Amino acid sequence: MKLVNKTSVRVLAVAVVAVFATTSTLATAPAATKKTFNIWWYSKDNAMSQTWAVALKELKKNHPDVKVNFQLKTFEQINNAGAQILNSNAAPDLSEWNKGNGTAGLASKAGLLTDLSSYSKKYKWNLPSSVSLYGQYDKGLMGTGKLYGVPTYGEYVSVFYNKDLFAANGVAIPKTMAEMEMAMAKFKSAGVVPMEMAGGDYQTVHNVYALAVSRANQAWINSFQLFKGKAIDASKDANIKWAADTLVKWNKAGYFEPNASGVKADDAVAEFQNGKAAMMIGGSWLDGGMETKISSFKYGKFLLPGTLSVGSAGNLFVIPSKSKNKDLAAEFINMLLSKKYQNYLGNAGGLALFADADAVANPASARTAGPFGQAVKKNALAMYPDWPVAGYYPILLAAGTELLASGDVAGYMKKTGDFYNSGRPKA
Amino acid sequence: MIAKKKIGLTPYLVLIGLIIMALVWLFPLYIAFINSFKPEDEFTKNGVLAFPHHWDFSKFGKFWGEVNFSRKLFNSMQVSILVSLIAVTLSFLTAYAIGIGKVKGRNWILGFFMVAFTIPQEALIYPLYSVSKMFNLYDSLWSIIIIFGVMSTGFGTYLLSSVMSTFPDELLEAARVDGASPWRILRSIVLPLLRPTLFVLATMFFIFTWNEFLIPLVMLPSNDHQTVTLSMAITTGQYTSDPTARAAAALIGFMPSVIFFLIFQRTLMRGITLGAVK
Repeated sequence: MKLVNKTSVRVLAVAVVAVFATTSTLATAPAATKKTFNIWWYSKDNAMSQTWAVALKELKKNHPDVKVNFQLKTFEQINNAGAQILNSNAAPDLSEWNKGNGTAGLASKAGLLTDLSSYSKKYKWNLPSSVSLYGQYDKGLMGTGKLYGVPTYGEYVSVFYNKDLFAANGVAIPKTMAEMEMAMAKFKSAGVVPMEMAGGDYQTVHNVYALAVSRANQAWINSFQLFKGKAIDASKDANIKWAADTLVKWNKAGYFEPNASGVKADDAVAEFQNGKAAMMIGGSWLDGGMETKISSFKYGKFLLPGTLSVGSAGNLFVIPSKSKNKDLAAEFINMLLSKKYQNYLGNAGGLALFADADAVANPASARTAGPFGQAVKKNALAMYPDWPVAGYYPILLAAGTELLASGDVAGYMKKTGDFYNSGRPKA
Repeated sequence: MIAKKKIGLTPYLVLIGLIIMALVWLFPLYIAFINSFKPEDEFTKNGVLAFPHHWDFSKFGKFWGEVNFSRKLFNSMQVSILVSLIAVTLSFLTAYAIGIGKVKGRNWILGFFMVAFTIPQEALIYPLYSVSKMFNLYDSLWSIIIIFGVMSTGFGTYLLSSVMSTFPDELLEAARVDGASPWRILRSIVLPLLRPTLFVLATMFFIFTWNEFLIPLVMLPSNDHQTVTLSMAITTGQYTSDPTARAAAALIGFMPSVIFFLIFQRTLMRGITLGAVK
């Protein structure tokens, strides 16, 4: 008996093709008659996306003639295929975008982003330079030049701490690095993990840099990040070397979990939320999760002792050159910068750049806004470790994980330093 | 009797070995399964391995709605089915020319086909991007159907032509003596005998294509055109991620290809026994 019938296979194949051809995206869509506004972002389940969604609703109401087509993208896609999308007809009219030389910088240099200077003038945004510098690029380098993107919120890296464990062990918030180490030693001898550390993940990258900038000054940042002033030889730099030494020292002293080099960020965060560790260095993007998932103890935040802190204004909104609705896109950016939505963002738990202090009433928001305000006031935001040169992040991550596993500081300095030095634009 | 017992031991050892291997293979599936039903606070408190106390079914619905999963599923089905149809048909024809037709320079041709599936995708991605834009296929499912169709054809040709080069000459000779044309030989002799192999290939192509990530990621910017694997990335943000939602996404993301495999597994076995009778 023939079980696989030739005719039935053929009929099936024809039917499949026919169904696809008639019903599907394989056929090109007819042109829309209504004007469509394509807007993308990839922030999700946080104060920012919440605020933007509310603002978008208002935009929709103000423009009933426009069909608003919002798409929630994935970070993965923007990160990997962003430039290709901008350089095609599939580019959106407005999108959230990553700041930095390797992303927005590269895109602006290739002419893929709209210069927003005239909109800035028209709407009187008057962005302070510490905010606008993240959207300004000159020949692809961040810091000065035309305005290609606008940040509407901030983010920073600080130390989350378990208030209950601090109280139980009689530890006060450390004000110097020496106090920090004493605190960790105390937790260690009490049998508490002093510091969560995901050595196999971005936490290594952030921790090394957080330690480095805790001893750095603004001139160092200007040189390391913005390539202004005397060039830094990153393979020999004293701040970075001290940071790498310190990380290894802490690891050897048992201040992290054993085998920290293999831990993933999700697991480290979950353990801290579970009350298993006294501290964790982490970014403000974790605030929302901390607020909802910590139930068994009280927690707080403080800045790592030292001069500068890792942090910056947040992701940008950019208008691609291929945008078909540039005015509408600028109108939306203007809404996000308004007091109304800045205050909304602050109350939702986000780090608003221009919120009125007394309009933010939510205690959880105040907890995270406090240290951020201190850092902004001291003008001490040191940006992020992987910004200066394109492709730096995977190098920093691999080298950082290896540093924790092997303790080889010289190897770390050479690997990361050589990459930085060769990627740095020649003066 | 004693001798019989001795022989009887080996199958049991093999069986135990297979059971252990099956458990190792099923373990990730089990982890994805329990975590996708685990409420988030339990995940935080009890970790990855703990069995859920309460069963939480909400993640599937949330993920399904958030990414419009029905659409993604439909897109992935279209791409995977068309790719396996195209690739099996084309590689069957090319392999016939190479393996049985023994065309001149066939080794060179085979080497050329091998290029299609040995070059890493990372190296091909930007040329493919530029070409697809040139033909106005960027952000269209056709771009990846063509790309994967061609890549799979390369592999299929390589595999099938070596199968066909060992095809019994007597059968072909007999057919030629009877006056069968090459087309007739292809349809009436080679195709029926190779059908099981073709089904294996089609299943492989379907699953390979289903699991592709990088090329669809670059080629398909619009959400409406994206495939299942791309939609799973929604559970990982820039700095944050949602492990239980990711487990749920993984579970419903790979289910269709498992179901497809199970269905065709049966056809496959029937096809093989059919061949054996002959």
